[in-house]
Amino acid sequence: MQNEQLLLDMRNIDMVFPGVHALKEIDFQLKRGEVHALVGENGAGKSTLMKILMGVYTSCDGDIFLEGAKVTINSPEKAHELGIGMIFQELSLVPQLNVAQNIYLGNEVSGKTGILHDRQMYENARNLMKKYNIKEYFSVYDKVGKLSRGYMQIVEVLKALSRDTKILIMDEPTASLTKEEEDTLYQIILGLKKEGVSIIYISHRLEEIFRNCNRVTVFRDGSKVETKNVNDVDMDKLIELMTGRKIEAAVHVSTIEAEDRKEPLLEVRNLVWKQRLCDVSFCLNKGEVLGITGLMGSGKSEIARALFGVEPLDSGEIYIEGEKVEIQHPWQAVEAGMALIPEDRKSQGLVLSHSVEENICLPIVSDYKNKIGLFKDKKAGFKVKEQIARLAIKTPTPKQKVKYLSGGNQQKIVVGKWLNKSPKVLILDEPTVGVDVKTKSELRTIIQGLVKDQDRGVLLFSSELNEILQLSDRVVILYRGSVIKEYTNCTSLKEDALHRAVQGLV
Amino acid sequence: MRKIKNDNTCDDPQDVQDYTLTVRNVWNYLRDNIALLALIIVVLFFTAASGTKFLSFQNMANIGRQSAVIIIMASGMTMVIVSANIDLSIASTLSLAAMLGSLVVTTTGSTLLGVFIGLAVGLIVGLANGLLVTKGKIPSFLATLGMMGVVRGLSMMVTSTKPIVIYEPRFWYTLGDGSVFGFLPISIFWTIIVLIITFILLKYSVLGRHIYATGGNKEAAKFTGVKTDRTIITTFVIMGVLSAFSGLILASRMHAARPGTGEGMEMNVIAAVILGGTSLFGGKGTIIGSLIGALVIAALNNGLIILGYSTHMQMLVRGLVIILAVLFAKDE
Repeated sequence: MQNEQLLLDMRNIDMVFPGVHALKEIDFQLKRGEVHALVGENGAGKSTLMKILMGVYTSCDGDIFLEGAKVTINSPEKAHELGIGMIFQELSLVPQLNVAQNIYLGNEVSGKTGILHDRQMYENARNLMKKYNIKEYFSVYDKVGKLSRGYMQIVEVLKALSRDTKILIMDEPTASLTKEEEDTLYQIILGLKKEGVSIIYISHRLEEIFRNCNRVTVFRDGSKVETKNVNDVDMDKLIELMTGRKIEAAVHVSTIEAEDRKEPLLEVRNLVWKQRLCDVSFCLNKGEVLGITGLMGSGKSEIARALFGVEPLDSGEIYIEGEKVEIQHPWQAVEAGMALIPEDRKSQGLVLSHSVEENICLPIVSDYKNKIGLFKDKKAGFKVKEQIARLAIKTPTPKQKVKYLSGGNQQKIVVGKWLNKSPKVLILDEPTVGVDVKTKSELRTIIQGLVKDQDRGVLLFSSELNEILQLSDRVVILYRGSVIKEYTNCTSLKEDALHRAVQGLV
Repeated sequence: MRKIKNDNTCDDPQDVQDYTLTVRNVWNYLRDNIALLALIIVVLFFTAASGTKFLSFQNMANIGRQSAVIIIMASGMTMVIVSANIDLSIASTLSLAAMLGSLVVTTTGSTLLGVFIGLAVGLIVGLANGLLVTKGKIPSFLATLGMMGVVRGLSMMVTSTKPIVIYEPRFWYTLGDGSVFGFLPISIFWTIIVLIITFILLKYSVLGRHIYATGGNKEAAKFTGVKTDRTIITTFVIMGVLSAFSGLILASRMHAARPGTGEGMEMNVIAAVILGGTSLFGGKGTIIGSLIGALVIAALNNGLIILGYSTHMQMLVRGLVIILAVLFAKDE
């Protein structure tokens, strides 16, 4: 690199949340025109540091220097002013507006009277694309809603660049992109580098880091482990730095003998869905937990949604206890004996404005009716109390609205509502995300308890490898929409082997 | 750190109620049940302003009769709005059912057949609304706005806008113009029946639970195996049938059906439901609330007439009452 000058210097950044020491005296330096990767497991502190840089979290200790001058970043607006921009995973674009309008949204080109100077705006947008060498993938007049996900991401990048951005933060930019879109994005990153824009690149896909980045900083448990030149490390070294020596923490607890669980419960054959799932097959046996893992965008959530009839499959067959089932709607999945604990509990798992009781009762109302369709309130109420006690749900009364409960208790309610129904196949999609440590371990105990019943099975979709190792009897690894590896014996499996596998190294 | 919410929010005293009778509790109760407060204020005001006239048995029966169709339709509308939809076509449905039902009664002389045809009209319109909203994926506001025009047009076409006069005493007395037990106007009797059925349906039936869940969070309800489309279609069908029933009651009471009957009625009905505490966003609301809301609207209209005000004044006051009630209601 030609200009090795320091652009950003964060010193002794320290941050404490109630109960969690999120960042422990972090030093972080960013050079002008470099692409700097941040890696680490979920909760290692990457996002927290970035939120501090973006002015989302303001009460931390430590100093931030930008181009040698000390700055205070107390709001996202201030961060924008200083030339710091972030591309979020959830894009912040208005689909109804066109490319140029989106780029200049909130920063419109106008005269003193407030009348827009449209021609100037389109001209500026075109120049911007030319400046960063973005070929004519789309025109500045195209409606953003019609663009592919990858091009939307490029518009988002342009939006940040239109405001003289010096530092661009990208959080998992390729998670939902196709291979082709990815390559386009890499081209742009190359162009940005040449223009002297510094990029902070957060990704779980390590191969990307070797391809795009100059340096990499590894985080673990809120501490910075090391900053290295990408050329000085290889993937094994990175994984070692990320996981540290804590591999023994994942104690495998499966108690079932391998011979006991040979009877297939759920068989999935040749699932194909758009470009996201290519020919996925696996089998869940009675009395076992099958862990399915992979990086973001590997197809985990897609399988869960497809199995439950939320998204219609392009092709593929599903068998439950040897019988073929057709599942086009979630209610058919429920009738077939499945239950889904969805990833997004607030929008898909719960009716937030309703009570604990009503939420837990919902799946079983049809089972507790008399001849004329009236609901047996008392009997169901008894079932509700049973679940509240069994799962230790902390609520002052069953009539409490669930929106007033903590994330962990909400998740227990989602679990509780299905336990009454006794599903044969319980599908868990990221069951412990956003849940505190104590509830996390409680939930894991509950999941283990479920498969004690030899007729049931649990499909666990999780990106927390630690959790996968701890709970699963077998593990299936997904990579870019395909099953690339299956581990049948988890007792001897090590976390770093899983880390390598999800990166596609098998 | 204030950005992160404390994890033990379950100690929140919200919803843990204290039932002792204090001024503060009564006040809070009335704020939660704004329609009841409005009813009390309206009744007290008109009693004071008109002397005994307003509170007389005769006038109470009048209010009952006048509010019958609003209450019947508000019961159906409660279900529709709780499921996070709306139906603007109810007044048109009321009119088409009244026209076709009356036509059948006058031509065949059979009250039973007339009522059957009238209710079938409501069922068909409701089914069409439900299918448009669920399978057609049209927002209910637009789907039923369109149906409102289509059905009103059909109603006008039945007799080329001429009214149908009904000479069939049996039809008069069974629905709108008779009385039961010697004192209870028959329209009030039917209203009570509808209230009981819809109350049980919404509060104690499986369908009711599914309606609340669908309105509260359709996505979550679907993920739980609730047939949300079927639930929504059912609410529209019930709404259609109740609108048709209201149309038959009106025709029976007037001994005639006019194609313009009930125009603007949807505003009264929606106002009653909202005043009764049902959330326009769905998932929350009760039949009792809507009943009280409907009584407020009816008492207002009646009281203003007794005091000698014009119908314009009724419209103005009704509008103000709704705005005030929603402003004053405790927001969550």
